[in-house]
Amino acid sequence: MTMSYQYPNILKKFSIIALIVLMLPQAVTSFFEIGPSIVDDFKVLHRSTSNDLFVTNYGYCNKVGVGYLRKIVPSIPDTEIFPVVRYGDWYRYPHVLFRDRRIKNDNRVLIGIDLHKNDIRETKITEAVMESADKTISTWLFHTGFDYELLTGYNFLLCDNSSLVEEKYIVTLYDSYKNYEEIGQWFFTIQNNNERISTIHLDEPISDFSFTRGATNFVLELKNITPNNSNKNICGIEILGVKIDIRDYTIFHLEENKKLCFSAIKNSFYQEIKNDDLTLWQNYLDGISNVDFAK
Amino acid sequence: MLTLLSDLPLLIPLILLPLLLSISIFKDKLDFPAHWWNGILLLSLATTFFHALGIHPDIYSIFFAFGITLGVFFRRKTILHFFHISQFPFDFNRAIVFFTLLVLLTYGVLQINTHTIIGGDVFPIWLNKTKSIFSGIAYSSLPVVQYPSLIPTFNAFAMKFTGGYHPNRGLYFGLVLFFFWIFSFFNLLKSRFSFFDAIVISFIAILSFDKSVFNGMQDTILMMGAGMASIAFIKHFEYSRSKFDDTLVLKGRGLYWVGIFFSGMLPLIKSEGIILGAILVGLSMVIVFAITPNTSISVIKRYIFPVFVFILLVAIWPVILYTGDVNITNIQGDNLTLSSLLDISHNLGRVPIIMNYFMSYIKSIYIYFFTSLVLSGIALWLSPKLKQTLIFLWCVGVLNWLFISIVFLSTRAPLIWHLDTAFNRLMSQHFFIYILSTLIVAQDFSQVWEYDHE
Repeated sequence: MTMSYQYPNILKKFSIIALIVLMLPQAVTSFFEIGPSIVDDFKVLHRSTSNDLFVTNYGYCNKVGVGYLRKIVPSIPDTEIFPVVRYGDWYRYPHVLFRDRRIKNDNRVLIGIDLHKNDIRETKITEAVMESADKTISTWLFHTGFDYELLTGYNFLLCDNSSLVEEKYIVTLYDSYKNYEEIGQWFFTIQNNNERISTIHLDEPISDFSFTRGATNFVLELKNITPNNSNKNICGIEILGVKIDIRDYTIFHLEENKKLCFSAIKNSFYQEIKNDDLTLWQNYLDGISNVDFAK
Repeated sequence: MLTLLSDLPLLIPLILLPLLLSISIFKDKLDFPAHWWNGILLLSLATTFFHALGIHPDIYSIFFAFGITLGVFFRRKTILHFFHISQFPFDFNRAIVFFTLLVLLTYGVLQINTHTIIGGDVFPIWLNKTKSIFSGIAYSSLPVVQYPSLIPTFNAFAMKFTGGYHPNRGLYFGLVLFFFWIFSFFNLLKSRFSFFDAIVISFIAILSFDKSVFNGMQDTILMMGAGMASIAFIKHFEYSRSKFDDTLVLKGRGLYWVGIFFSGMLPLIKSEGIILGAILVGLSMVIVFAITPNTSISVIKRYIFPVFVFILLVAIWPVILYTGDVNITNIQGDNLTLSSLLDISHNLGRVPIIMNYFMSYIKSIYIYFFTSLVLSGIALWLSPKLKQTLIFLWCVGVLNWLFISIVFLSTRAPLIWHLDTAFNRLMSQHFFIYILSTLIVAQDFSQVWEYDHE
């Protein structure tokens, strides 16, 4: 009886010791990482203000751009609104870092953070990849990665052995396979010349084009409607667009170092400020502007 | 440093009000950590109700602070009696755990105030909701409207005590929750608290403390809430087995209600809490019926009524959304709907991919997983009295794995993207099973040293 009682006890003791031995190295390592970190963090907190830390952590004209936003936003006359903010990559919900009550996004003021000059111009977004093709219809897929406000056109790259005769196409863009909703449809003609690239610019660019889509693909369908012709002449499609659309805005504040940050006011609202003599807004713009913008 | 001082008033809504509220209602029926958890969940539920009724946070914050102060005044004898009888034993072994927790809390507070807030959904969902609720925006107009808002609502309420919204202040919630979660382990164990228990709890606290505790995401909070419900159910199983002590049996019945309440609050923290809560309640009933020798109608009745209350708690958030004209069937957009469940049979080819993610998650927690698995196995052989508890905990894990598999077998979002962004978070929601099984077995096994001394 004694023996049968002792063996389980030995196993229990062994299990407990094994448990502690297994956990010990990682627990000790964690504890010795935490200790110095406490000292370092305490020093940082001691020598910095809360504001400094926010700018260090969330950036001035980069990252979330808290430093630049703090220069522009707090004095906006309407205390309920937060401007529309655009970044070079994707939206970061900067208003949650502000302690005020500004929660309503208002597009009368547009702020750009962490940008290159090309981000406000038309650029190549990406190249579409052919997914399938039959005699007259080919299907192409692409995703934008970053946010793009406008789709402005397409570059069609002709194959080296293409027949170089005039061809007519219908291009249809769908939101995605999952949501097969048509975004737009265009007709275009490839001219009979020696150019290997045929560009079409949309008369009406597609606005609010691609936001927070992640890796979701757009679906582009290309249909050759030239009688007795196939679609084998097109070997690639480049998608053209603009990250930040400032066509309806006037920049009133600009900071440019390695990166570009700007603040702009909607033209129609600026007219309203002038016509209706909105003094608070006029004073705000006069006080904060650092560029010679449309007076 | 002034930042930390200006955050001090947060101690009132985060610690004082929940404790006083629960003690004044439930007297000495619960222990200290369970009182706090009970109080914070009641307070959060009350703020959620008031917000849903369209009352501005400025008004209900004053109302609650005033109401609880008044309640404390009238129940002062009850509260003083609780503090008098609880006389929490503070010995060297417990001091080891408290020292560890103090170091971890200090680390957490400093990290919150000196580092960037991380976590994909923290800005667009949780802080976004908190700031909107703080400003009095109705639930039906919140960003990501279908996601439950219990914690953002409480955080907005707590921030009223510091005079304004601040993104960092909501992050303390997870820290305090963690403190009382570890603190509750004392109650799970026997009254004799050995040196081994102190070392094991301290190691568990250190190893399970990471940025997910205070980054503002709700998954770790959900995990701790489900862990608290499990502790209540486990104590209930233990007390139900007590054949000779009616006081313990009655206390056990009370703890079943606590488990039901904690489980019912999980869906108000995160949508997945509906499944986790249902698993906890369902399994607890199975275990209870298994250990009750004669399952009479009266016993069934005793357990059916709490289940009805659980269903009522689960229904709160959908009802709030429904009354705000929100489509309650569209929780995850088109990615996950009831109809997408029909796709599972066509998506079985995903199983190997899901298994890869499962294996890499297990690899990331291998110390916990294997120690709890091996210890549970040995305990099932050597300590039959732990059988129900261990079966309960591991069944929670297995059923939750099954639920997670169903999610990824039926999702219409790009699979790899969905796995990359959600798999580990979903798996972490039942992490408590490894912690509790390790702790319970370790405590039981460590008693052999005590027998040696006796």
